[in-house]
Amino acid sequence: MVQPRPFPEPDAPDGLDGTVLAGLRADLGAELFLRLARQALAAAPEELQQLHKAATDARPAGVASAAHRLSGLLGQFGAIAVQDVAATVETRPDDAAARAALAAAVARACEALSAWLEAGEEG
Amino acid sequence: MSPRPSVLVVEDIPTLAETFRAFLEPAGMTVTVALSGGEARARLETLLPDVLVLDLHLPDMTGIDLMRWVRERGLPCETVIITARGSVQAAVDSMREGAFDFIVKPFSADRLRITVKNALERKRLAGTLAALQEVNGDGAFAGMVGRSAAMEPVYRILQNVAPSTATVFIRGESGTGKELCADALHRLSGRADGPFIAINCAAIPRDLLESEVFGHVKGAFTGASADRKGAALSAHGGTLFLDEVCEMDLGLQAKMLRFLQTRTVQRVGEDKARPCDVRIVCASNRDPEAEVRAGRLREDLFYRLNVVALALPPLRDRDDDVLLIARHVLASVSAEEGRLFADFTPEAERALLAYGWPGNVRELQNVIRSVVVLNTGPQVTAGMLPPEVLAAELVGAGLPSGSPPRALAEGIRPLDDVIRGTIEAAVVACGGNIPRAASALGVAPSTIYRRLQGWRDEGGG
Repeated sequence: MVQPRPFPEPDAPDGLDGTVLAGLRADLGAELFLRLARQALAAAPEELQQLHKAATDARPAGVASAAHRLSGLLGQFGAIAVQDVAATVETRPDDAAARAALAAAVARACEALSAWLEAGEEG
Repeated sequence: MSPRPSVLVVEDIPTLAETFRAFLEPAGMTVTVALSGGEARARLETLLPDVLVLDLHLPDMTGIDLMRWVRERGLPCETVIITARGSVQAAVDSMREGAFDFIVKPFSADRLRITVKNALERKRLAGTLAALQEVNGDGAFAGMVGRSAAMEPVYRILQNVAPSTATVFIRGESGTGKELCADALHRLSGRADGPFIAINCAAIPRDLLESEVFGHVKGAFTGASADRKGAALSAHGGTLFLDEVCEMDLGLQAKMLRFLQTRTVQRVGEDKARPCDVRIVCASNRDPEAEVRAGRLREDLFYRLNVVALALPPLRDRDDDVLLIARHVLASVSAEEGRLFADFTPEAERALLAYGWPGNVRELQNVIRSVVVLNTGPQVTAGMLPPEVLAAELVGAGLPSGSPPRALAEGIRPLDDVIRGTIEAAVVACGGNIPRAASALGVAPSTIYRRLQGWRDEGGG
């Protein structure tokens, strides 16, 4: 049986909680986990786009809502850092710096998750 | 409930909805998914799930809006809230609205399955409770008498919260029935067959409180001549009620916090931690937020204890409940004392309703006990009631304010005289038995002894 590479540590710089990822894969099974993780990776940029659009249109409720969705979506895959920054954006949707920090955290989390999935497939 | 429980997952992120479905189906549940509040409503027109698994943030409405919609239609399903970190306060609010429990993303399949299974169990118990209430059409709810509007939210919270393991913080003025309420929570819970242990933190010397709650081993301190289990371990499998919890000193609060976090108990003088499965209910007549601000109550402990807040209304806000409770107490005290009191005259009822009852239900109980002991039946007349209760009715009848009521002005007496007369009458009626007279008056025997001594010292006794 192919063993995936070890998960990142919970407080690794890429902000993914390896315990959560390992648990989720065990709960779902490798195949469904992979499919849903890819769905999440595809959905995250779209949510981020919704957030930027809401900010441009000066719709703070839309910004908060998109931040919440990103938090739930990536948080379930162990992106604790995204959850932390998203919580700030939800309370301060007009804060451009917080929005930028969220975009960066989302990019890092997606990159880390994507790399891990690829390594798992290759491994 | 169908043999295969049904769950409606309301989650607007398809990836997560599919994840939760995959968590629940292997546990033998039939799962339907709705991606918005509107879709959920449409589903609920034809589908009656046992449990709603509900995201608080939906694109077209909040999860709480959907919960209210479900409640307005009387749909008998339990709700489990799922929420993201940072929205925990909203999730706690949803429990006040009747949600069974909440879980914070990310969570495991086991966590969701266990929570949904507990919700299914509560649904089963709620069905049993509804049947019991139907039988019990006497205005009483789990031993609590009253059907005023002010008590409706209390009963609703009791019914919703009792089957969960959530910690409950009961607030209310002295005498409003906080322990009775805690007992009702216990009796309506799945722990009803377990023990209900009550500790009054204000009544136990601070030095002894730790060992009273957590127990001690022989020799742990001077006077510890034998092992003591303590209230927490005695309540294992049941409910631990901590009355006047704000009176606990800060050192013991730290130990209480550890207990809540670890669910283990370490007896005084012992290294071993013992597992302890209890549901905590606490109460205070103080404002706990003010106690936190004043530094007398640890904030982290307060949040642990205040998962569900339940406020008991004062008796003055409970309308005709005064009469329901008065009749209930009259019947039980008359039977206890071997008297034949059956009811109240209309004048007496008006007086009971007009009085403000600063001591709440406890004061009402004491007044009625005193009336029963000092008089003969079969009716309680206005004249049997204490002057302060009667005065309220006379003032309420439209006598000019600012001057004493006419009926009282004629024979008005200094308050000390009234107290002395009442105590002496009680002692005579009880054949000189001070403890019994004290019980009838609703005071401690020491109060009567102290008064008698004072009068003797004044040379009047």
